[in-house]
Amino acid sequence: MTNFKAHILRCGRTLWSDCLSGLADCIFPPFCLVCEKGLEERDHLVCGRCWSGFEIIDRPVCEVCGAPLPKGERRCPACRGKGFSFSGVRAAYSYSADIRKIIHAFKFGRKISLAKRLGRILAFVLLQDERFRQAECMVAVPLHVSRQRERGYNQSELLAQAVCAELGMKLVKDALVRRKRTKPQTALAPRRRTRNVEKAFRVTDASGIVDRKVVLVDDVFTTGATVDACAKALRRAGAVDVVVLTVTRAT
Amino acid sequence: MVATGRTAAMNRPALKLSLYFALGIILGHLVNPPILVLLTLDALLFLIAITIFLTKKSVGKWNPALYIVLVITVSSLHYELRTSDFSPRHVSNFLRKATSTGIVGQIASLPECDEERTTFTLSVKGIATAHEWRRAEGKVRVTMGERTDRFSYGDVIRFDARLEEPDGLRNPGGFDYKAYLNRRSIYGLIFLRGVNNVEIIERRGGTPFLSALIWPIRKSMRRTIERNLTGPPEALLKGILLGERRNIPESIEEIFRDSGVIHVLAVSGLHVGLVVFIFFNLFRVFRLSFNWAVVCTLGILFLYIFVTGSRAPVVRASLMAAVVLTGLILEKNVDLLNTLAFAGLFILLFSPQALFDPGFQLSFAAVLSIVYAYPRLKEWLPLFLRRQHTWWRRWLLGGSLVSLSAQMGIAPIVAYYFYRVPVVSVLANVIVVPWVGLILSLGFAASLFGPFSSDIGLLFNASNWLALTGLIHTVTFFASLPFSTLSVPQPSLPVVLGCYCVTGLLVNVKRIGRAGHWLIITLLVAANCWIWTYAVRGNQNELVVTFFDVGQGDAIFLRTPQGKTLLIDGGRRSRYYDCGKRVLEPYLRQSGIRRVDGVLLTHPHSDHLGGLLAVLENFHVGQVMDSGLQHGSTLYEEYVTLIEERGIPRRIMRAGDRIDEFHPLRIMILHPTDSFVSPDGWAPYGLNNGSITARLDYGRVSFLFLGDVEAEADRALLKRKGFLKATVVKVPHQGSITGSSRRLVEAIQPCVAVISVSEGNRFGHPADAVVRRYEQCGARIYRTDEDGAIIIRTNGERTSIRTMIRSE
Ligand SMILES: [Zn+2]
Ligand SMILES: [Zn+2]
Repeated sequence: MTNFKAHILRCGRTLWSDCLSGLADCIFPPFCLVCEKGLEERDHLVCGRCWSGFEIIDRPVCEVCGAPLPKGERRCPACRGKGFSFSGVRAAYSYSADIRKIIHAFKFGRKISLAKRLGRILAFVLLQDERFRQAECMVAVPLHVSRQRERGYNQSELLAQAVCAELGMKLVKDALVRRKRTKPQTALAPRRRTRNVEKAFRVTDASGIVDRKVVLVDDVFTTGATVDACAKALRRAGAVDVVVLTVTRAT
Repeated sequence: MVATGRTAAMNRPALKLSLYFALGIILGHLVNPPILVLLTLDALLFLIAITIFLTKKSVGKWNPALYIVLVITVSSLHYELRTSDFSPRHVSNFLRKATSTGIVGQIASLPECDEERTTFTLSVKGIATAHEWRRAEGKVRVTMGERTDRFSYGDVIRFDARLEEPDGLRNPGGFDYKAYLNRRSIYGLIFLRGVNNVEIIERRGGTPFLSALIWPIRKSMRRTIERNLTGPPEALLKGILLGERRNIPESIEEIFRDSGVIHVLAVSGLHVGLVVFIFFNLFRVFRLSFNWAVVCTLGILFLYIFVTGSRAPVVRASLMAAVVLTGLILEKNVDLLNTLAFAGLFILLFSPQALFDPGFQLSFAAVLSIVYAYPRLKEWLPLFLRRQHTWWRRWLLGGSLVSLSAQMGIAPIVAYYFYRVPVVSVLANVIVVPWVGLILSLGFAASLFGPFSSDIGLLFNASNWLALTGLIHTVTFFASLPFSTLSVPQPSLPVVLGCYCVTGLLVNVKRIGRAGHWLIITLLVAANCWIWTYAVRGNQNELVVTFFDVGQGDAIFLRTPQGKTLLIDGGRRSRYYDCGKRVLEPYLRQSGIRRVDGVLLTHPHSDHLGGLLAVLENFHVGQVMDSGLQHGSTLYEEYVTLIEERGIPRRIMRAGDRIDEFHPLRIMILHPTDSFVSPDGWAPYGLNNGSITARLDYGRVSFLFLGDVEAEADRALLKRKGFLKATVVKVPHQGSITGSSRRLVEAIQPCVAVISVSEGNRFGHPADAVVRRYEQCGARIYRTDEDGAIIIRTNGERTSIRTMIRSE
C-alpha cells in the first residue's frame, strides 16, 4: 500500500516537473541561434554542428596582423608600413555571417554564457603560439563607462576572464579605460576608424602591466584600429610587448 | 537573440498548440457539438493520456494524434462552455421581455461619458420577477441619457428598466452588434433616460486592485488630458493614450480609416513597445541593474494592460515583450513566431470568442506578417539599398518595408470586414507611427508629471496639442490623396484564404525554389475559379429586391438582371442614426456597387428621405425621381441642394409615367395623380397620400410599392384596379390602419406582403386588422422587425425569399 502511495507521489512529482519544463519549452523552445534548427539540450544556445562548422584560421598567417598570407610569402603586403603597436594577432575564427550572429548574441543579446565556450577556444588558440604563451598577463579592451552601464557587462572582459580561468593566467582589470564615448566602429567607413578611436584609451593604473608582456583581448578584429590604440596606450605605460587575441578576424 | 525563423526543422510547440486550439474553437463555432459528447470524449481521452503517463507505455505513433485530438476537443468544449452553455440564471434568459423589471447589479467598468450619455458595463446580480427577486448573473451594457459622474466602478445600483437584446445582423453588409458584444461577454442592453431613478445601494465595491490602483491611474490620465486640451485634439489623445474612442468625431475617424492608420487610435502593440522603451530606459537611468529594470518594466506593463482595458492587441504585445525580455534575463533564444503564437494561445485561453474578433485578427495578422514576411521581403532589396549608413535612409527603408509587410498581412481581413483595401497606408504608416510615438511620449510625460505640477503638465500638453494638430493635418492630407483606399466588394472566405496563400508563396519565392511554381499554379487556379463564378453569376438573370430593416421608414434596393440598380427611399436620419451610413452605404460597399442608376423618393417625409442623402453624396447617382412634393424640412432643403450641386438629373413622376431604363423590368407609376400634388408642390391630401406608387413587372412576377398611401390615395388607386394585382406588395405606412383598405388588399391579392416596421414602436404598427386582411387574402407576411432585411430573388418565374434573421 505504501509502495503504491509512493509510486503515485513520484508520478505526481514527475508530472509537475514535466508540466513546468513543458511550459518553459513551450515559451522558449530551444533552438540553435545560428542555423535555427531545434536543439535537444535545453541550456544550449548553438548546436554542435554549427560550432564545428565555423572556419578556424589554421592557415599560415602574418606574424604581425594575423591576416592569412598569400601562398609562398613570409610577410604580408597589407600591414607593411602601418606600424602597429602590437606585435602579433591571433584569432580563432575567420569572420562570417554565422559567427557574426554569435558575436551579436554575445554582445547585444546578453548571451553571457557564450563566454565560457569562446574562452575555451581562445585559450586553445593562445597555446598554439609561442609569443602568446610567454605573456604574463591579460587585459581586455574596455568599454566607456556609460556604455558599460548601459549594457551591464563588457564582453571582452568576460572573454578574458574565461581564458584566464582556463589557463590560470592573471587578468589585469581597470588598467585600461576608454575615455571617449566613441562611435561604434561598424558604423564607420574603414578609413575613419583610426581617427575615431585615436586617444580614446588611457592607462590609469600601470602597476599590473609595467615590464610585462600583455595579451590584449577583444571580440572582433577588422582593421585593427581599436586594438592598436589600446596597444599604444599600454606600450606607453610600460608594457614590454602587446599581442592581440580575438574571437574573429576579417579575412 | 531574437530569431525570425527559417528552417522547418525548428520546433515551435506554442505555434502548433495554438493552431490546434484555434481549430478546436472554429470547429466548436461551426459544428456546435453537444457539450455532453465533448465532455465524455475529453474525459475518455484524458483517462487514456493519464494511463499512458502512469504506466509509461507509449502507443507509438498514435501518441501525438491522441494529444492533438485532446487539445482540439478541449478547446471546443472550452468555447462551448463560454459562449452557449449558460445557467438558467444568466441574463440571456431574461431578454426580450416587453415590460421593465427591477434590476440590481454592480458596475463592472469605469463609466465613460460623452456630452449627453454615460455608459458602463453592469454585472447583473438580481432580477425582479413577478413575485420575487431572483439571483442572476452575466454582464449587460448600460447607457444613460445624461452626462453624470455619480457612478463609479464597483457601485451596486438598483433601477427599473427593460433588458433588451442587442441587434444582430439585420441587414446585409451591416454590423453585428450582438456578436460584437457577446464576444466581450456582454449579453444585454439597458437604456436609462436619466440618473434619477437609479438607487445606489452600495458604494465602491469591486476588485480593490481595479478600484484602488488601476482606475485612479486611468482617471488621473484622463483628467490631465481634459485639463488643457479640448475638441478634436483632446478626443484624439484620449483615443491614442487610453483607447477611448467614444469622443472622436466621425469625420476624424473617417480620415484615419481612409488613410489606413486607424489602428493608432486604439491602444495597440505600438504603445506597448513605447512603454517598454520609455520605462526601461528610465529605470536604467536610475541605475537599476538590467534584471531589475526588466522586472520593473514588466510591472509597469502589467498595470498598463489593465489601465487601457486589457484589449487583445495590448495583451498580445505585452506578452511578447515579456517573453523577449525574460529571454534576455534567462539567456534563452527567443523565436518571435513561437512567441506570437504563445500570446495568441494565452488570449484564447481566457476568451476563446476573441478568435472571431476583427481586432484580434487584425492585430495578429499584422504582427505575423511582420515577423514572417519582413525578413523575406528584405532579401528582395538590391544590395546597394540594404547597405545604408545614414540613419534616416535606413529608417525610411526599414519603416516602409515593415509597413508594407503589415499591410500585406491585414489587407484581406480589412477587405473582408470593411470592404476596402488601404493603399496609401503603406506610406502613411511610415510617417504616422513615429509621430504617434512622439504624441504618446508627450502624453505619458504629461500624465506622469501633470498630477504633481500643472505647469509641467501644461507644457507637455501644449506641445502635444501641436503634435496632435499636425497629425490631423497629415492624416487629412493622406486621406485626400486620390486612391488612398480602394473600395472592393466583400471577398468570400476562400478568396481571403487564397490571398494569404499567394502572399505566403510570393514572399518565399527567393527562398524556396518550388514556391514560384506553386505561386503560378495557385494564381491559375484562382483565375479559373474567378472566371467560372463570373460566368455562372452572369447567367443568373435574377432580379434581387432587398427590403432593408431600417426601423421606422422604408428603404428598398433593386438590382436588375442587367446589373442596374434602383433605390426606393432611404430610411430615416436622426442625430444618432443615419440609415444611409448605417445600412445603405455598408450594403452598397459590400456588394461592390459604386453607381446607383436611379433613386426614387416616394414622398419627402424624413423616414423615407433621410438615408438617401448619404447615398446622393457618396455614390454616383444616375437620376433622381420624385413626385415634386415639397416639404419644409432641413432634410428636404439639403436634398434639393445636393441634387443641384452634384448635377443629378431630377425627374418628376406622375401616375401613368413609365420608367424604361431598367429593361427588361417594366416599371409603371400608378400614383400620384395631379389632384394629389398641387402645381406649386404642396400636398392637398397630405404628403403620405401623395406617395409615389410604383408597379414593377418582371416576367410573371410583379411588385407593388405603395409608399405611405392612406385612405384617399387608396380610393384613387382602386380606379386603376387592373394594375393592382401583384405578387409582392410593400404594405403602406408600416401597416398602419390608415392604409391598406380591405378593397385595396383584395384588389392586389398578394402572395407576399412585406411590412417595413420598427420593433416595439409606440404607434402599435402594424395594426392587427391590417395583418389579418393580408393573411386572409392568402399572403405570407414578412416583417422587418421580426425578419430583419428581406431579400427576394426572382427570375421572372420563380421567387425565393431569404430573411436576415432566421425565423423559427
Ligand atoms: Zn546550428
Ligand atoms: Zn600583416
